[in-house]
Amino acid sequence: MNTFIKTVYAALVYAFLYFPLVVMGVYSFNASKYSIAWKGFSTTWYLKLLGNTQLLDAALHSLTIAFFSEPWPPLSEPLQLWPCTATVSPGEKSCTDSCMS
Amino acid sequence: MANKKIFRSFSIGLVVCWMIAFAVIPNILVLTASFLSRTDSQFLTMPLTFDGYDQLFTPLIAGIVMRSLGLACMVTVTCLLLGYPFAWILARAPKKHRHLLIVMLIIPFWTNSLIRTYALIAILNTSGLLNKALMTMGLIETPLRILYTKSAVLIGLTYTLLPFMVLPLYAAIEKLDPRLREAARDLGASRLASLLKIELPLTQSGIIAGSMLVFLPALGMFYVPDILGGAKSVLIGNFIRDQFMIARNWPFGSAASIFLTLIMIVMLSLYAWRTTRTRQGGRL
Repeated sequence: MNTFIKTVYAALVYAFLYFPLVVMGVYSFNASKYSIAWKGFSTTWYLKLLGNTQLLDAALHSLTIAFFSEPWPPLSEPLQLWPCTATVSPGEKSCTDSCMS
Repeated sequence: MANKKIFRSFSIGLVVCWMIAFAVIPNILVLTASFLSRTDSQFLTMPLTFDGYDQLFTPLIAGIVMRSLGLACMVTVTCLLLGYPFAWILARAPKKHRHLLIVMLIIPFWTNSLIRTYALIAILNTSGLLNKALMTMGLIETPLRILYTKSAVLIGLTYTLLPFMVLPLYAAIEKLDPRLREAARDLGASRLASLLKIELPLTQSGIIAGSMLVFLPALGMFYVPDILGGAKSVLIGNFIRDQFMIARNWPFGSAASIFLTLIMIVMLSLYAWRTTRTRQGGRL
């Protein structure tokens, strides 16, 4: 019984966190322009998205920025791992492994 | 050896330079701007005044600040009440599931919180999904007016900030030895007594850290009250944004921003003082 209540409680919290995401996903197939009413299933918005080069360009810019703001591996990895690798004796599992995994 | 030292100071120096350029200097600029004045042709001009701060201490602003602090408190308490049992369940879940459960807590962040807030509109609307569901179940006759009220802002902020509360709580609870509770129960403590005397004090660090992570962003997040609260509920974050973007009164906006920063500094100092004190207490 106790585990049942716990499971239900955790499920409710996850539902709270995920319900808006699900709603957003479902409404992306809405034929209506506004999210207020459901006007039937359609893939209009996805087709429009693929046709909108400006938006796709913007997405590409976002991806580029995200890629470079992620610490750039060749520069940042030696910086981050230097203190780890230097102090580990051979044979011991270095903390590099745990950093990388 | 010397090589290693140089490398270490280089990497630390890089971060320090970054922080100076993008955190310290902008804050100094805001602080300076708060003492400058403004004319019709220039955002910031020379005569140094306290006008920005004078304007701050009026009943209108005091009301906004009190409302923001009150709402942030409510959000923090809601997140704590909702998150504490939840973090407890996560921390005591079977080990093989724990990792997945934590990842599931982080996945909603992959979607922009602005978009998730818009999704909440579709749910909280008078003709939205929540009202439709409640009316179909026969629980209510007329749709509830939630959207564009304070409750909507409360729900939205709780929704956005709940993971920030759960993660520190989880970290604190997972470290707690389950045997302490068993010992307390064996020695005749009731469930409530063991909760109040064992679990809550020992997970205090997580409670305080989580509350900070929820309370401070709740003060500053301006887009959630903007989208869900309508025009009625101006909070301190919206107020600062409006001074910069709409009223174009940069000195006043800067003064309000410095005031908000001061509130946060006071709270973080209290937190730091509290944690060092408890740590010393633990050592005794």
